[in-house]
Amino acid sequence: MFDSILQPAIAYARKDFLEAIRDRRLIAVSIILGAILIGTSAAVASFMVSTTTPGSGAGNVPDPFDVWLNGTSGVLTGIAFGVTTVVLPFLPMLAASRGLERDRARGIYQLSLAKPIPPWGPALGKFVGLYAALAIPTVAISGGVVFAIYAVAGAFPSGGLLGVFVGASVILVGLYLLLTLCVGAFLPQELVGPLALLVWVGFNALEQTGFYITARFMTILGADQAVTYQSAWTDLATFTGLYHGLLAPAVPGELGFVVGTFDVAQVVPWAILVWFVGVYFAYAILLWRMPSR
Amino acid sequence: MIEVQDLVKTFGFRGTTTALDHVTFSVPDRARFGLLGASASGKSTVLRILSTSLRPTSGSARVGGHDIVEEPDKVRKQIGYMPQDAEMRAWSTGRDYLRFWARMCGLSAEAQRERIDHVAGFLSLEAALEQDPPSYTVDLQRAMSLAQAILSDPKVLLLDELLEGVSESGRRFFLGRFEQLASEGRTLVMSTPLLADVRAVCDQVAVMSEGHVTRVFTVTELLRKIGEGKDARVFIDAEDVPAEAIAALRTLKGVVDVRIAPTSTILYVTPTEIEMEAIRRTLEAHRVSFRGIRTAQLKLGDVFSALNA
Repeated sequence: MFDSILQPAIAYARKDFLEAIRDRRLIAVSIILGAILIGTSAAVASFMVSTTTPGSGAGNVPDPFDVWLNGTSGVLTGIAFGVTTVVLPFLPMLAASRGLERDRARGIYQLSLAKPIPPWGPALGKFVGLYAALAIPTVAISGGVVFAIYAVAGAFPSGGLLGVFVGASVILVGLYLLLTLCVGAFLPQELVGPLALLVWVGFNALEQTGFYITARFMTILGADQAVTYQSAWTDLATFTGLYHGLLAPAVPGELGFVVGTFDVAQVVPWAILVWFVGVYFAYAILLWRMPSR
Repeated sequence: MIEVQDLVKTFGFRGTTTALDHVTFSVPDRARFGLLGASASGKSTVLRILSTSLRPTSGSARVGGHDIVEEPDKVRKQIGYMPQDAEMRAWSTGRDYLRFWARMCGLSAEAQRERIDHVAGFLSLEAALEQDPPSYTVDLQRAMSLAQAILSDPKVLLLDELLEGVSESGRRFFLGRFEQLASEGRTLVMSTPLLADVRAVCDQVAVMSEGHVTRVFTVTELLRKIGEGKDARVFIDAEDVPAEAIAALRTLKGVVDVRIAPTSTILYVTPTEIEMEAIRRTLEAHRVSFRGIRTAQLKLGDVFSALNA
């Protein structure tokens, strides 16, 4: 039983890792996305001001856009909250879509279905292989963002924020990778990209919409407006919200960007684990469903 | 061993394309069963469904008593499937390719080495294991693909057009290996568009056309129906072949029948016995002026014409 899961997992992990790191289109897109993020970081850092400015958020507590230009940590906070979740997900969406496409076009997926093994191994292996390959450009890009800020501003952002930024970016990529694999396991190949894109739009738009609605409703119910405004950055229903939830506690206190007392921030790691496990099981089951075409 | 009942498979929007139309047949345990049909007749679709990699639209199929939709895991433990087009570009050597599929059978590391060495020896693939798959000949590709199908030592082998495009020496090699695989008690199901393959390998055959199984024959029955030995033809492009030359051609080894057509003379032959040089010498001895000699496998149309006659 152990070998029937472990061995297929190793088989797919090795194959997909090697294919992904040699995938020219994926390399090209990594370079483009990296250039966008690193270029934006350098541009923002060049406008950096060294003094903290009062925020314009509800209750005069600064939201991430207000702390944007306050020191190198402010620049990184702004990039992380404002740009990363919009740009970075394209990388895992492309990798997952192409990984599934390769297997289907070459008949590897169809032949895998005829083998006497449960679905958990191939599903896990494919995810791990692609994730390992994506971790390289993700760390390079997020590290590049930090170095671009340093190169322009002459100082590194806070060490804690820097580490969480790199780690959270890797987690964000993993979540989108797994979700796109799950979507691709039951959709025709031509619809995988568009649906993954819809999810991306939904998660980013949903997060913003949820943010404002939550703040409004909680204010009406009598909650502290400033705290609510800040806490609402974190939500558990979207990857953007989870990413923000990971990052918010690491933002240096001197920026005045408070996480608030909302308990959601503490459950973010658990929520991420639930997302990973839940989507993985759904993906594995859908992947091993006997296809109709 | 295999029972297929009223199998239907449709593709396209609202099932507009019918690939299989109420296909029914059964394959006894340890049989060598052929699916004979032209391209797009539904042979590969049947094999894909039996391999549990394609869901039928309706009908049922059972392998070793297990339903392919209800109990695919039990079916998968019994089968080895060789698809028509095996893709090997993802792997840098033949050993990597076989190791991938050995892992996909859930074999332990030790069992993987043992089975890979065994199947490589059985199919004479020792040298190919260390070569780059894109450099393989068609014969080697087919052998490597067959190797992945037998890695799990299956009871039932589903082989999709294994002999398509292989060389004559490769064909002889595979026929020998089929004999051995069958003699070990396996059930073989192979698809092919060539009557000669069915004649060489199978003891039973389902003739397929446009998603239907026209009928299931023993191979002896089928050959009797269409004419024993008429599985290949030699065309002599010449207008006037004298009667004594025709008579001489009839006596050549491997010639089953001779027919006169307007612009050519057609010899029905057994490919393994006929010698082209003997035909040429006979024509020259009778001073027959001919433009050329061509060979062709008996077309499936000829099979269907004979079956419908």
